[in-house]
Amino acid sequence: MSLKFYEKFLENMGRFSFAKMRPFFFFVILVLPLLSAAVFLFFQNTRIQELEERFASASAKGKMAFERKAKKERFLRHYSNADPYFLDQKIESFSFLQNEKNQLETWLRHPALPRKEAIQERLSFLTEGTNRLSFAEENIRASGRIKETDEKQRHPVQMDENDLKKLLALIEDIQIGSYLPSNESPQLIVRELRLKKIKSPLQSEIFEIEMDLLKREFAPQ
Amino acid sequence: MKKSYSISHGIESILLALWQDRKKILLLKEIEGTAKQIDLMILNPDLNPHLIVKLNESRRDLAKAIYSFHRDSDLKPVIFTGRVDAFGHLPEFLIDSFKDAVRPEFASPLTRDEQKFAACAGLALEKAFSRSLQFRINEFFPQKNWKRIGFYSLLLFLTSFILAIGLVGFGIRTCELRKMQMLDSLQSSLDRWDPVLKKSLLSNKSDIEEIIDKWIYEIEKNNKDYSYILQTPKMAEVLTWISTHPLLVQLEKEGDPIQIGEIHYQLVQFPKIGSAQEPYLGKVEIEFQFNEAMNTRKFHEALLKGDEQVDPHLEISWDALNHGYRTSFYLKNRSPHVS
Repeated sequence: MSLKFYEKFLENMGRFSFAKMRPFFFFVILVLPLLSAAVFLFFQNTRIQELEERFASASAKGKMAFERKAKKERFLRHYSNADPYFLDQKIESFSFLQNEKNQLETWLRHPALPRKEAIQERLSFLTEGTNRLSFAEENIRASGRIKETDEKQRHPVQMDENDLKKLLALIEDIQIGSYLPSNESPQLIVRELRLKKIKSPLQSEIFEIEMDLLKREFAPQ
Repeated sequence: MKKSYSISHGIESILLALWQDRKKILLLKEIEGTAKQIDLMILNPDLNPHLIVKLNESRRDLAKAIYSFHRDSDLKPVIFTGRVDAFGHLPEFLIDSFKDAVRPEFASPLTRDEQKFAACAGLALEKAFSRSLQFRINEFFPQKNWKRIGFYSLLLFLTSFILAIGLVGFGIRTCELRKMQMLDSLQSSLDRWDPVLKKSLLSNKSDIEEIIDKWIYEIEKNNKDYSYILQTPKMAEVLTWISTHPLLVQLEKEGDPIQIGEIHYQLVQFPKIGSAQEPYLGKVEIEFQFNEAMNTRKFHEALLKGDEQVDPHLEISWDALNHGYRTSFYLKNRSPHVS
């Protein structure tokens, strides 16, 4: 029974292959699985090749990318613990031209000095807060973890080279000579700084500084 | 055959003769049926005068031809073909006039149908000399051949199918190996660079492709520096650059130091909340003077060449003032763009 069925099946198969359809279609059906496999493999290979190319390209950039990532994490860690009153307490409290002030005070105490008014006036300028940094907050912007504030200097200040180094070390978070940055500073970026070289009443070279800052504060992660 | 014989009488002319005898009682189309019922061996000549004349005429002509053949050959059997059943005992009637000229033991090997259509078959065969002739009504192909063909077809289909499955399997395996190679390479890279990321990527049982995609995404994400990290040189760096500029140091040694009146540092562009992709662009403007005009020119040329701080591809302006010069230039960023 099974043999007959098998023989009948083979006969039908033969008739189906060569009598009921054209040889072209027989060969089409014959190569169809191979063709499908080839198409599948082609697409599979293309996909893997594309992945490999992306992988190779990413690998080439990998080290740099992870360095950047680490840098970003360090950056955020550093500025996440900023003192919110840094500008008021550390920058605006600066007293500039300390040498000149000492010198003026010494002169002022000298009994033989004929015109003390000019010196007194200069000393007042240096000590009574007129020559201190003062910033006005403008354009406060906030998004997610970041808060940005424009800090506009209210009036120009005078300082000597050492004062400038000390100030820039704190503002720009960078070591300048022996002046070290602070760990508590928010990110302060100098948006604009105008430095003018002028002569002090003592005929020494000092700078008149006017600047605008951008303050960025990052919330802790 | 020396002479050809043509017998002009046929069944149609004999039937017509019969109809002439019976035309008062029969229609022409009825004559064929009547003829089949007439046995020529017991034919009454009085009732069928036209028919008997025609039959005798035919028998005479036929005998003439047979006797003519008989002179040149031995006795041969005679086989009548065509409409031999048109009258009862038609062959026997015809052969009666020349039975001594043919082989008496007459036994036709043909069936009635073969006898009937022998003339048509003969004509067809005659034509077949010039080209092959197919008499089959249906195709003829042995059953065993169909089975054999079926077997080979099945074998070919199975081979093709198995080969296709093998190819697909091989392809998938190769792809998996290639993915595993990438994963190994990724693991060793992550060991060195970011073990935390490695743990988070490999902890959940994701597909290799998904892991690689995530890793590529991480790389792409950190492809550029964090936008809020300052990329342009700081004011302190600009001041250091001025104080350590090789040309300016050299000119100072030569006794003509640069005398700076004013420096204006400005961030023309920088990323902010809402426009984080904006690049940093720093600009510096310096008012200065030298004692020697030549040194001013040298400084200008040095700026035009560019260096680690000055971007020579962006505008470098140069103006003469009452007491010196003013130049402005853009600063070169540390990283070309931000993320």
